[in-house]
Amino acid sequence: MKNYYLIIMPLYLLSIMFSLSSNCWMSIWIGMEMNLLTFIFIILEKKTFNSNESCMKYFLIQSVGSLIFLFSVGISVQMTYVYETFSINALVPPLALMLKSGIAPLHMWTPDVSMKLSPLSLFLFISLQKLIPMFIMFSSWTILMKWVIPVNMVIGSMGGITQASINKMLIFSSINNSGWMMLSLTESTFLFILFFIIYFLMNCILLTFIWIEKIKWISQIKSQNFPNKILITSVMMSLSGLPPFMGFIPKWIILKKIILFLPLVSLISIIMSIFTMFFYLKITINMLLYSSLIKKWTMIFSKAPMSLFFLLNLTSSLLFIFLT
Amino acid sequence: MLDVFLAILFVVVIKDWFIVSYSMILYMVYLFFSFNDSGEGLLKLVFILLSLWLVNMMLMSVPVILKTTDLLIIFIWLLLSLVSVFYVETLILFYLSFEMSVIPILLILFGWGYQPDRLEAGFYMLIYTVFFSLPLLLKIFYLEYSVLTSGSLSFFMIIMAFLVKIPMAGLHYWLPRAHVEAPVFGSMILAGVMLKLGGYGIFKVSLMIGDFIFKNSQTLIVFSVLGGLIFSGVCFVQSDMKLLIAYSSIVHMSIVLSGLLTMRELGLNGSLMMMVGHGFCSSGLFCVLGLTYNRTMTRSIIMNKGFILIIPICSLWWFLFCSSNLSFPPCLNLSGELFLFLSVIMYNSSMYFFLAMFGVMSSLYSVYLFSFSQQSFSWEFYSFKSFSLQESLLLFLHWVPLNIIILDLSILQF
Repeated sequence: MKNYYLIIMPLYLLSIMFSLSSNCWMSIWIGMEMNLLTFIFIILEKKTFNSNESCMKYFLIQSVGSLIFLFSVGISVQMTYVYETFSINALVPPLALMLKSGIAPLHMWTPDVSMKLSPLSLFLFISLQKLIPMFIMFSSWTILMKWVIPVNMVIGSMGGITQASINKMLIFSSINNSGWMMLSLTESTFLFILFFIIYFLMNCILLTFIWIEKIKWISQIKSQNFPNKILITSVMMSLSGLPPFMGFIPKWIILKKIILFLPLVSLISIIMSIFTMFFYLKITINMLLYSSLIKKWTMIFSKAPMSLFFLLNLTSSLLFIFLT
Repeated sequence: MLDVFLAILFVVVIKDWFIVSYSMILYMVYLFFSFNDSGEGLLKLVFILLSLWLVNMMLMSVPVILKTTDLLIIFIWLLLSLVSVFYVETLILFYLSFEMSVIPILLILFGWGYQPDRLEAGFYMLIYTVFFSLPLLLKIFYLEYSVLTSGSLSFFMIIMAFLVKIPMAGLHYWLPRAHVEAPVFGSMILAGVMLKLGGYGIFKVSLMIGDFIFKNSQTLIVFSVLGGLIFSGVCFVQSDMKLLIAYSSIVHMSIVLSGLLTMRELGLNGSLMMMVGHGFCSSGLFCVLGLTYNRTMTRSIIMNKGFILIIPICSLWWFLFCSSNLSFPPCLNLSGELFLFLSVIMYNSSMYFFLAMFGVMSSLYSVYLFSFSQQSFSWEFYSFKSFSLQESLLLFLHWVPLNIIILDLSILQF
């Protein structure tokens, strides 16, 4: 198919924008359905082994989620649910959205589906697909979401430790990171955008690497190429939120903002970040230790955007040193 | 100091080991001229000079075959993070550089260590450090919002990061592993400067909430002295010489910790002297151990025997560093140890018994180390290549600042 991405990708992005910019529940639902259909086309674009199966599972769960959402929104007279946080009418729409985006208590279907996805669709699944449900949930159900955040943190970090497949590990890391996203949304949309852009960038680099090297299992991650090695190691350290790297900045700002009104959640989030750090670093150690005793390579930096990203990653939080 | 910090950024682009080392000497000379500061500035200056000196020693100790650009870049990264730890004012940036300094050490451990166990050791080190220092981050935010701190939970949240880094007895498990797996230059910088970050951190935090720390640290002072006593006993049962030196640094740091926590001027001065002295001394010990290891290819205390017959110059350096390690007179550790003992006794006079035992035990293991590794006669080895001039210079440059500062202790008095 010649103009596949020329038609599908704009539609996909348009569906996200349509859904986020609409002002009634029905058009939000329409946007989500558009999003579902175009995303299924993106999954189906590359025929991998059993990609039809994962596509079917994805379609079924998404349509169930959309139907529940439509039904619960339709029967309700009230348009916003601000005053009845824990009534059953108010609980159903966010649960449907959580089912759709694979946020923690309803995440059980995501690892299975993710196994058959291609890197591009996995990337979209863990980043852009979270946008609509996240924003809609925080339009009305902020108080409920505060209870979902620690669950996300714990499940994401605990589940990721035992995974041997890179797709499942990324899914669990995205569950943990969606906890951080919701944490940032409790403070402000700007903070969410900051966190999301950095998360998007890091996952973009990581999944490009996975796509080029055709990696499916963690033990396959090894690179004979020195620039790749430092790039991926720094990206993983950045994802785990170690200080000199870029991933530390949004977490720093989020923690600083929420520490006064959500102290326990911030404590849970930092304790869980130890576990995420463990599994992020676990996937780099094969790469770090994979070398002969005497180094055979010399220092050649890779192409410009990659090394630019590397420098940005390494130095971005160091720039704050001049503030002292 | 900011000019030196910026100047180190320019060193990154130089790919020549000699020029990097030369420019670091230049920075040291430059920093010597600003030795008219007092108070916290002096402390920062002393630590920055210490880290510059020891990184320079590290550059010297790397064998020619390993002198690659990537190792050099890791060294400069390490130096940069150490200098920024000591330079920065705010606590959040201190935390940032404190965490950052772990990563180059981790890379050195992973890349240049030589046993498969280095993986476990590296993870131990990283996870210990990060797990205990993340609560510090939260407490820094609380302090920035000037929320009153009280209770032992917030005390431990603040101070645990430094207790792990020093390390206090009981939280030290990462240290011996990291030392055993690290290459020579890695353990030199690890014992030389990284352990001092904890002591410096306690000092830095005590500038803001000193009364809070003093109020809660009563048990820690006693616990740390007792831990040092126990670990000076543990030193005697080690068969690996590197482990013995690693445990000896735990012992030295434990008395530094208890002296710092007494919050007396005597204790602070003594801990500064002890930290600088221990920096040079343990770095020199690891260095001479590495040079011995290059010849015998074993670190076992049973195999390394009788060097005094085979390679007397090695024995001389072992003697000089072991004597410095047991605080023998012309050494900076002596004054530091005396000051710290005095401050702990002034804090609680019934500690004198433990301190006396501590003094005896902590000097005995150095005697043990020297006599078991150098004396008697060797049944395995017959001859070795003598120390080259460069290796002797390396050890000499460790030994001279260690023993010459005692002529004018006022430069370490703030």
